[in-house]
Amino acid sequence: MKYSFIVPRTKRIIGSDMRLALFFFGVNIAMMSAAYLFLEYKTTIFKEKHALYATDIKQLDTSTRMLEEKIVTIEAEIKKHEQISTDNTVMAESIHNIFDLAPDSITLMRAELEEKSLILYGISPNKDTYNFMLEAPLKSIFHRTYTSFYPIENGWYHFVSTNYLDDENSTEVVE
Amino acid sequence: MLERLFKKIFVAIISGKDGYDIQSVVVKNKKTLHKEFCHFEGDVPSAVMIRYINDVIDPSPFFYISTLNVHANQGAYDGCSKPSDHLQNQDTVGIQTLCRDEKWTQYAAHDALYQLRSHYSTVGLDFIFSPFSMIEYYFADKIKSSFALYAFGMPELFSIAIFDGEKLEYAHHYARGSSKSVNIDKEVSAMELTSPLLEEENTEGTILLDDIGDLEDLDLLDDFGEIANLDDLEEVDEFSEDVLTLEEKRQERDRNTGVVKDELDASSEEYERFGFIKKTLERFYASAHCHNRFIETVCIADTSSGGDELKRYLEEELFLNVLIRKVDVREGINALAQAEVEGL
Amino acid sequence: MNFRLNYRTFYVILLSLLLMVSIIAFSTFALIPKGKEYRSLRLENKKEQAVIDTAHEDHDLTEEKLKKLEEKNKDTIKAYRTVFNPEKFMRLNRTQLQDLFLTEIHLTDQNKSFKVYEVNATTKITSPEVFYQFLEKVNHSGWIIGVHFPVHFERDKDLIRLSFTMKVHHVSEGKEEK
Repeated sequence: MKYSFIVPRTKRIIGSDMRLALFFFGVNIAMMSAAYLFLEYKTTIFKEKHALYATDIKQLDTSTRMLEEKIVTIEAEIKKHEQISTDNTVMAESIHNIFDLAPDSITLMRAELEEKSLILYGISPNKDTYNFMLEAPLKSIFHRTYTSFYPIENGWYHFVSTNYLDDENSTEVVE
Repeated sequence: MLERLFKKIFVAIISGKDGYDIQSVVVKNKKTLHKEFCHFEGDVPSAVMIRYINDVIDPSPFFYISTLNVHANQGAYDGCSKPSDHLQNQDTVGIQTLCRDEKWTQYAAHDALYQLRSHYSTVGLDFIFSPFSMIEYYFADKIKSSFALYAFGMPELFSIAIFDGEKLEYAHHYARGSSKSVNIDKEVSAMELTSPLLEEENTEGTILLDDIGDLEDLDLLDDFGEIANLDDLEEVDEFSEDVLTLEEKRQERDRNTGVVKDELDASSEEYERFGFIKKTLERFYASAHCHNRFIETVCIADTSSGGDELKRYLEEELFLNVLIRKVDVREGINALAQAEVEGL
Repeated sequence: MNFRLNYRTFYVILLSLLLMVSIIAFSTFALIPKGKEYRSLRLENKKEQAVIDTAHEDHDLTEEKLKKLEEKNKDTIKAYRTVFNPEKFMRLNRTQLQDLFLTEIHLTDQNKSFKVYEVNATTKITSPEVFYQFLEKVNHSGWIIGVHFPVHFERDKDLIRLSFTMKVHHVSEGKEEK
């Protein structure tokens, strides 16, 4: 101090009562502002998520659909493969069964297997042997069976057996 | 920075034997907006006074309540060294000092300051000023450039300081009731009882042969200003009939004592002050600070009315040039408070 | 009764009223509406999240199913994507099918899903049993091969001359890229 023996008391613009009021209000306002900011932040997050929701769900649906399509494709492939395998097996069995039809006395020289027809070339000791031993089972399998015999020198016969499987609606072809 | 938006309120409280005198000043940006004076009776701050002050300071948080230290145990000395270097006859432990511009020091007792703060504890105190600060404030224009005796007077308080330029040569504080105070009755009786040789009288203008210690001090003989040419015997004051001899002076003094005593009843205070000034001069001239200088001018800041008698005494008895300024101590205190706040 | 209100108390009351009005206004016009918006968005988000979680679950299940299917049928899937190599086929079946000869590989698009290579094969076998074994073996050959009619057997001294048609199934590129 320049002139005075004592220093003046501290002067505060804001008195203690004002400071107390400001403190409580300040705390209140701070808490409310914090709550507001939290709500604002969360609201923004929710809005962003909502905006992404449509995209996300579309992506997921697309992805799921693609996976399902892939599954369908693979199942079709598997089914086709199974069908093909079955057809191969059935073909083997059919051919096996057909060749099993011919008795030992009849010798098959040639077989032409079509989808709906079978032509057998062979040698039979006699017609009856063929008719009873081979033609009968063939007739039971095929819708139409035609046989031609050609005698050979040793008294046996060449035969040509033509057998057809008809469709239900198709007309019979007469040779 | 925010302070500039607020008004500043300065309250000066002066206590006297008839109560409290209060001045409040409202200032904004160095402009005085409002000034008010009030007086309250009592020895202690009354509830009315406290309420008044609280009402005055309420409008602004920047209020400063000031008072003057009127206690006896205070003073001033040259320089800013420790009080123990200057105050040999006093207990300096309980002394608080304030160095003024690295030139001189004002001091006061801790007890006095504490008493003042306790006394005004109901309203609080921001500043306590010394009467010597009041002297400096009232005579700032003169102190800088002249060698003179300056005094500040209030009822029951008289402070004297001798400044040469801005250097404090001598200071003394007189308060009624202090051991240092000079009782004029004692002074008068002392003059009656003591022998002429021991009598302290006005030796201004004379040469004391005792002062000449050796031949080197013959320079003192140069101060022959008062002794005129011997050819003009009529004009030599020493032999003038107008100049009284020592014996004649004593006789006249005896005659005047009665007159003085009559005048004491009418202006005891003024004569008391005259005695203080005279005492101070005597002490100064007897001290090492004198350096053969003589004070020709006395400037007095007086809070009371009157002062003509004192002026007359000083002019006629001590042949001094006297300037008396009528001052309001409350104004001075508030002015100092404002200066203090500006310096914060 | 005189009620004396000093400046400080007046300012405190004024400031308190101002702040209280501000707080109430802020609550009414900002905080409460924001809270309502938050709540409604939260509920909506919760529902959407549930939908997304369900969709994720479905996706994961489908993916799992696909993985298992692929794992279980990886040979078949691989066979469909393996380009038919006649040299390799002949090499693999040389021991059973003598003089195996593959001719006339045609590429026919039977449908959009598959490409089909038609292969005519002629070979000599010792007995029909060999053909039956071939037909069994062709199911695990590393290609998807279906043996089709016409199948011709003809005795040629000790051997049987055999001709048949094979259709090799292959997944088309366009389908794969899809």
